[in-house]
Amino acid sequence: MAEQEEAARLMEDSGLAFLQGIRFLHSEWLWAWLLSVMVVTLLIRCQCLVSLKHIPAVSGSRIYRHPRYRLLHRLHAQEAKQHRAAVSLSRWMVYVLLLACFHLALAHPYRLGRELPKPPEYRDTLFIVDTSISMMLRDYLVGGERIDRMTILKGVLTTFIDGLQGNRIGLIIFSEQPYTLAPLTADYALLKSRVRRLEPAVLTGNTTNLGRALIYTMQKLKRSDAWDATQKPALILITDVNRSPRDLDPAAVATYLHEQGFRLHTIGIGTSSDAAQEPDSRGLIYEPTNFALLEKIARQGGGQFFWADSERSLQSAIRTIQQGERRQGIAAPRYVTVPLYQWPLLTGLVLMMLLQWFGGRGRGYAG
Amino acid sequence: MFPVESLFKTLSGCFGHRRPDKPDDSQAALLDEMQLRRLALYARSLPDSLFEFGRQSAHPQLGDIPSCYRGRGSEFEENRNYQAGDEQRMINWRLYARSGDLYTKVFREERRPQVFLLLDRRAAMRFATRRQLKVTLAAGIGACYCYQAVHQALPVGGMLLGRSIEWFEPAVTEISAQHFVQALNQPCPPVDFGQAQSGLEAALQQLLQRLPEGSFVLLLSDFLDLDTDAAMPLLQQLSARYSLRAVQVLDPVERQLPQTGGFLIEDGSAAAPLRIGAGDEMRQYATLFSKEQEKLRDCFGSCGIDLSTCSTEDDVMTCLESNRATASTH
Repeated sequence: MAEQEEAARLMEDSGLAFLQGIRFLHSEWLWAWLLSVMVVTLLIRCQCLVSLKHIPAVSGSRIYRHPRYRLLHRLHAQEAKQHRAAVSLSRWMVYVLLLACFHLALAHPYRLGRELPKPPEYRDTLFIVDTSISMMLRDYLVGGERIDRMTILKGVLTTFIDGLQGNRIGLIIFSEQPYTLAPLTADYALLKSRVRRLEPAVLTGNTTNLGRALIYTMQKLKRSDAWDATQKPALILITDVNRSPRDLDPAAVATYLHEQGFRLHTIGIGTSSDAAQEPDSRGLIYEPTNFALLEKIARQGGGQFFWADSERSLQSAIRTIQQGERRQGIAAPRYVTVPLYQWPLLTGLVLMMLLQWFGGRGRGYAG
Repeated sequence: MFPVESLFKTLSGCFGHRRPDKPDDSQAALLDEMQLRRLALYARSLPDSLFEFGRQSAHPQLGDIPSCYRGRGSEFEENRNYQAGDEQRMINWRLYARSGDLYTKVFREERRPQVFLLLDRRAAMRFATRRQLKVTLAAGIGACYCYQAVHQALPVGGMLLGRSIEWFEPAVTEISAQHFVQALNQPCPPVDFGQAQSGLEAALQQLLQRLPEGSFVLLLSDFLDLDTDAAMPLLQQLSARYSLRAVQVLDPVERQLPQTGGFLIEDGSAAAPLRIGAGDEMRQYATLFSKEQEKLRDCFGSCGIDLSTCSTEDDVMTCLESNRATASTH
């Protein structure tokens, strides 16, 4: 560390401060420069390389034939013989300089730019929301007024989305059939508009089939890219299920999900007794939520069970789950890399162009 | 040729602008009928002969074709000092009586001398930057000599240098002369300078072996590949046997490179093109070319061969006039 500081101080003193912080992606090319110089030296010694000034132009429009080519060749050969020693040295130096430029470019120099925003603090969250007809039941009391379960849920989800910036959120709704309302996305405007339009028993049927919903979620998660252990989303099941059809055991699916490394949390909506039944339930049969089943699912799924008996408790349940899903460890700061390879490359190309240009304006050379 | 280059050429052939109306000049005869007719008229109207046979005493027998007459010839050539071994019956007694010295009478046999043309049609001759190809000018000059030979009832033949050597046996008939003129006039499509071709010295060697002594030989070439040092003995032998005249055909660009500079020059072979700058390099080239020309002129001069130079800028008549002027000066 002290050596680096000393080197930095020396650079500043010598006016080379701009070289500070330059790093190389492929530093092996810098060492390969010595090898290239050796090869070029050998080739020049063997007279196997022509000077770069002698390389003809790419365009052939100005190439003419001349019957006295041999005479011209002899003329050039005489000149070349006279200046061979000086030309060899200058040719070698030009090659060394060009090789240095190109090897520098190949080593891919870069400088660290501005810092990138830190990765999201929490994991992605996938809500599995029950939209069966029972979500229309009005067993929440807010300010003395009965509010249906879906309204409460929509309000909480909207608040939740507003509070999460940088995380991705997905939304699967289910009743008889599951349906992906929004895949994992950071497009919060879309999510909020989807949540706002959420209505019970519109898209997917009236009754609740929890097992099928969990199977569907599992399939969707399997179909996604291979999840990193830290990237696996937290699953939050929000439902007011009373009983699920017996053909699929949701607890077994939850176990399987947990084995796959996912954690399934459950939040029960509504009440667990018939006491909260509304006198006028608009023709619906009141069904209290089966908390025992949800607790079992949460346990098997490796998560926690929460009862949202009010809007606040629902909000705090989601917060608690989110805090539990905080990513482990502090990620190292990331920076934008500013590539610098173009400068040595440009220098090399300009040098070649100048050589061709001034070579063409001066004397001709034999190939 | 690289596949990419050939592919590009194929594609440009498919989509490029084509000029169907313009005929391919390289496949046409060097001189058209009108030009040949004009040359024939000009050759016949010339007041003097284009052929100048050397001192005839140097060639007591013009050619090795046996005469149909017995004897050694009846045409008196000259008197020369008597040398031991000369026949006594050839001594000019009248002159002896007058002068008191012995002289021997020299006679010569009368035969028609042959006219033989050597025309270079190799790659370097298929080049020009002005007016006409070098080979076109050479063919025009050759055709003029042919027509005059026919006019003078002299046997005319020749040798064409290309990828190989074509030999045309001298004959006195007009048909054979026409045949030779047609061969001179064949199309000359451009070929690479680096392509394998017959050598000038090999052709001269063949000429020395096959052509009868005493013929008139006209060399039409740019003498580009003639090694003056190596060819000197051969030229001396030729000069001793034949009446030799050489016409060098050049293009102005060969004397002086274009002043613009900044272009590349190649010879069509795989060798890397040469970049030609401006100014100093032009002067150096001109100097080197002058030296080469001087060397060539010295070589021919020392062998007793008339060498005249023609430029592609001039027409055939102008060239012949200047050649005759040069020959008369010599």
